[in-house]
Amino acid sequence: MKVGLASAIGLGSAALVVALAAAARQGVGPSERTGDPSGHASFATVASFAGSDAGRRSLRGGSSEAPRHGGTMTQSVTASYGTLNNITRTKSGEELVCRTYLFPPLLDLDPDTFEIVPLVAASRPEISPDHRRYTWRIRPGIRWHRGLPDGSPVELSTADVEFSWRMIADTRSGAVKAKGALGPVESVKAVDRYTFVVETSAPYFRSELEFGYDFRIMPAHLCTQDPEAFGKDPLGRAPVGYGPYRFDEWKEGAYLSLVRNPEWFAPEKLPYWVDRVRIHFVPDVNQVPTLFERGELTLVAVNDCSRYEEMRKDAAWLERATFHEYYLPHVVFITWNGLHPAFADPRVRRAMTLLNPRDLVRDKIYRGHAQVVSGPWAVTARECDPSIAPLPFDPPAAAALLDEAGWQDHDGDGWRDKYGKALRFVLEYSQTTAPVFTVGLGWFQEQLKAAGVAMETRAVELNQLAAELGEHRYDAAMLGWVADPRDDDVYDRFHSDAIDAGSNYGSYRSAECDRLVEAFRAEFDESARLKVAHAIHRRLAEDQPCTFLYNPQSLVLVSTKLRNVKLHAMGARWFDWWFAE
Amino acid sequence: MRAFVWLAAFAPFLAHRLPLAHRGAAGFDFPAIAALDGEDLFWLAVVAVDGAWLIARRARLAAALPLLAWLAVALAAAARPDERTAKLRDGPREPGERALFSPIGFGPEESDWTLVMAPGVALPLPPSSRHWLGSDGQGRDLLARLLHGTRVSLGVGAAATAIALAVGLMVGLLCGTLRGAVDLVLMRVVEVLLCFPHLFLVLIVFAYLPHSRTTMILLLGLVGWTTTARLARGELLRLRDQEFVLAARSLGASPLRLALRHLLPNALAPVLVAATFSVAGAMLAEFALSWLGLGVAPPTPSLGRILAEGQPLIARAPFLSLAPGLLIFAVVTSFNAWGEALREATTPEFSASRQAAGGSAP
Amino acid sequence: MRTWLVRRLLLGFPTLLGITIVTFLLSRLAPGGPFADLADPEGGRPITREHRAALERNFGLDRPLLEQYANWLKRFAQLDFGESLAPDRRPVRQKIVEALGVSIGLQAAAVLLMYAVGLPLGVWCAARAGTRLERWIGRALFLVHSTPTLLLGTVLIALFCTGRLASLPLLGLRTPGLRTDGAWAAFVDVARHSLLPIVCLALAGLAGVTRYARAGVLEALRQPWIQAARARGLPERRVLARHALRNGLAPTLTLLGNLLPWLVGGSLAVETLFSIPGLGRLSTDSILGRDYPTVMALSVLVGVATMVGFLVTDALYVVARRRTELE
Repeated sequence: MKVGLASAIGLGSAALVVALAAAARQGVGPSERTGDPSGHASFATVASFAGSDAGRRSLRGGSSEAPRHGGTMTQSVTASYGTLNNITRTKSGEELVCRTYLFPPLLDLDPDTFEIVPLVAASRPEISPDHRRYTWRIRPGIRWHRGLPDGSPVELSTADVEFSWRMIADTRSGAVKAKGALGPVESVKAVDRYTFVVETSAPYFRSELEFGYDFRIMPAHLCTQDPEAFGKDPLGRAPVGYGPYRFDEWKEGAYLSLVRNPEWFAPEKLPYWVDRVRIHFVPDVNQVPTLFERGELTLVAVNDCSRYEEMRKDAAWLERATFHEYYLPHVVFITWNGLHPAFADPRVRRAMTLLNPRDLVRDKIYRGHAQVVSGPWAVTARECDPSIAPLPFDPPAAAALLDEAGWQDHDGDGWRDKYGKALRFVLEYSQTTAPVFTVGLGWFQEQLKAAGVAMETRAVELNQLAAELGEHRYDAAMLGWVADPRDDDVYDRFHSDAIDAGSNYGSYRSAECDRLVEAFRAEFDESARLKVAHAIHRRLAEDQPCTFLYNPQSLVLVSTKLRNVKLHAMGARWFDWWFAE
Repeated sequence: MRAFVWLAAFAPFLAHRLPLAHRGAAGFDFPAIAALDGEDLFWLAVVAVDGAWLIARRARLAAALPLLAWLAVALAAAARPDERTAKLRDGPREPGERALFSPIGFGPEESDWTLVMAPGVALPLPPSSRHWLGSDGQGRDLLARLLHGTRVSLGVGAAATAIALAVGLMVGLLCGTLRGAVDLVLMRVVEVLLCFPHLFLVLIVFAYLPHSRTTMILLLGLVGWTTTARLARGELLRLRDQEFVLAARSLGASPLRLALRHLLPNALAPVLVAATFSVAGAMLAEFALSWLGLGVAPPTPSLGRILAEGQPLIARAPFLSLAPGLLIFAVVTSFNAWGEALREATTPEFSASRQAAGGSAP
Repeated sequence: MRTWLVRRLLLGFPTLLGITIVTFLLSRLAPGGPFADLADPEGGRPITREHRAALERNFGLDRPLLEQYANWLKRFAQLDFGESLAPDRRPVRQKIVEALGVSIGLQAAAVLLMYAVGLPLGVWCAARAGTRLERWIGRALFLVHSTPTLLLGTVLIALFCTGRLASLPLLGLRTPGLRTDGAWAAFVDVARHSLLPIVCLALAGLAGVTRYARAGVLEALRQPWIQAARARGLPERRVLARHALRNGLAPTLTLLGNLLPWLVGGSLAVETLFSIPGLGRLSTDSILGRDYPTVMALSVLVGVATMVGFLVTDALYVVARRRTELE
């Protein structure tokens, strides 16, 4: 019977496929650099293809072969998709598929410069002077993959927009994340077939980008109109979109298959040469390199930096794959619960950071494929002030701080204590965290032990972790966070309002930080806003509400069968790659 | 199997962070021995009893080891622990200061900071004279961890089985002797316990209780008594029909006397045999739980945890994953073999009725 | 016999009720809820309290526990298992039937393989009992029996899916996009994919079957009528086949009592390794995702199967006892 228990719960190690999940948060598409001839150079020749197979011409520089349609891009994710209903979906894997392949957004981000680029929208919206009214225009001629039952095609229009807003706003449909992502939107009303107006309740500089990037559209002519039945609509299992790829097949628990849409409306911006996309559901992350080796996957992310380094030196691997690295705005950090008697004191939190051997982990575990950060942003982000250096690894200074804060070993048992209570706490992290992050915790634990602080680490189920964080019933937790690639607003994480209603898990309260965050949100001028961001960075580095650990690199292997492979600042966006013969 | 138990008992002497003996300015002291705690002493006591039994059977060579154990206990009383001597291995020493370290030289929970911080050194460390089997991904000596990990796994498995045995025997006895309504109800309870999803129980227990060995033992024990109960009950029901029981009953023996004096000793043999398989099963369950991250809290080593930590490194250092796997099934195999031998020794007849009552799963 | 059977069947109902109550209580006791996806601490803006409250109201999760259980029981009595709380909101019955189909096929094949190999192997071991080869085979079986399934699977994958002997596929149960003309080609594809998982599953139980067969045949061989047959000069093979086998293999039938629970068990290890969407993964995912309706339905399924298994085992015991009484 115990063997039954053992085998029944012999779960394979499921690590977080951060790279693909994080890549999902990013957008689609290259820039339409209006009026910039140099930017057009790469696309001038592509424009002549206009989405058809006619004509073959070689492209500049990058590859001597001509692009061609064909091939299947195979990737993998750890968790099965729940639903591909664009409005009720919740997982980041689903977001990748929907936003990139099936339902491209109104506004997109240039994968290199992160500039705003209109995609489904004909142009950027008109904004009223009080920043509360946004007038959007949809590009005409975008067709849904499936039209009316009699076969006639249906264009994307404001009817779909209004229908989608109705579903998002209605709490009965379960479109929780869709609503949350839109921020202070009050109403969405159509003016004519292609124009609609969005009203927000408060001026917010991100409203345009948030709406443009996160507003989710579903076909009004095919979906059920009843909000309660909307979540169960069969379109969630067989989605109909308007993007570069059409739904082909979804084999439950096995894979999702998409096929190229020949009527894709923006082939000059996003050519998408690859004919088919197949995403496999592989729960055991350790299998992914094996599958790549067998040729069953063509684009994978690797978690183990040392393995990556070894593959790079292996002739067999060099034949199969090209290696790419890039930084996502993904930051791993430890959040300290401000309600804990020790962590309410910023000196103790600072001492914790001083005792964390971050440089050692970066060198030995990440092999240099990560940066130590001092704030909630990646080192490459514009919001990050590069002059603020991370705290060094300094146990004597930490000991001095702890002594100063009153935590000393009064009773001689080897542990620091204050008012009779020893300084011990439990650091929790999600069970799905990749092992690469937890080795550093072991060293941290030993350093703390040498300094007289008892830390216990615990891998906790995600459900439980979420519950405890929400109720502020924990000591310390190690989490990861993927910031927005541009204009990342930390209101939800460090403003005192967010303690009850947001993600301010550490109950961090600082009047100055609140003031700065509010100033950030109200500032419409970009350079002034960045200055405020730097000030926020400085305040957070001073107060250490979290110990910001690393900004890890994403390590990607791409099959050598693909041509014109180049990675953008935003990651492995492969709209301009193609398969060789 | 005896080898594993003895190795486990002597683990703190074979692999310890602190030196076994140290002579400093303040004279002699024995830090490692002084750091022995109640659990270590319990293991040593087990080994002492085993050694005494071997002596009684005139196995001369083994007699020395229990004596060593008792000697260690005596020394512990006289020693003064000194944490700072941990740095003696690589750090500066005062003149005249000497230290005798355990053979493996490293404890299971400490990283080798000297090597970890050295530039150009890649983890995990390969086998060398300093680390006989190399280190794990964090720089901790692998041999020490395996040794202590076996000890933890064995300890948890044995303790859990002990609890399961105790509870299961009690319940089985109650069912077998009292029969009727008690039997009916208790067997239904057993069925309920076996049918609901155990993962929930594991999640809840580990959400609300500390991740310690005690929690594991309690969890495994309280989930595992059902097999013993069914087996004991089956045995008792079978024995009831034997002549000697009928004889005792006709002589007017009370149910309690019947149970304790006549039924229990005869029912014990197959139950004990099943218990040895139970230990193996409990070890495997603990292995699986530790692997999932639900077992004892790090840095305490356990074979499942060592495997879980070694898995992401499997391409570079396959031995990190193979070693705990090999160890676990060596130990489990030895328990299974012991159980088989015990079964063949105690049950010359392998009748169909006994098999039906036993009914263990494929 | 009949009264005993009827009584046991009747007792099944309160036991099932007990199982569902325990499962219900435990599932509510576990921290967190079905909307962890939405409260993911590592992903984006969290949902507001009002929104979460609205969601809970929608699904009736804010009612008192007793009422929730009573509702579930009422619907269950009408064989309505409700809808999953997972984002796909599919009917629970559909999800379970899908996963069950996959798991039962694999497990049934594994059982067949187990018996097809284990019985002859057990008989052979009994015939050659005590020889060196037989002892080594016994040890090898122990080795396999003691290895956790996950390790076994990893080794098999390493042997047959990568490296020089790579010949079998690794993912799932079918090759995606493969155009199969005719049922035979489709069958071959599925067979190639399921070979390793079935072998993995079968190896786990092989030792048990072999052990039982060997012990049974050995005991049968010790019986006096075997000596009599030998004394009469019958060839060894006939002695074995006609007399020993029939009586000796009877005990292995008791193992069949565990067949049903095993069939609906689903091995999480094998399903994770080979990316097979079976019952093991469904039950673990629904527990971790607090998908209460699916968890309850699965516990009923497993509960019924286990109880039937117990019933069969106990019935066989009663039959055996009656037979020995008659002797």
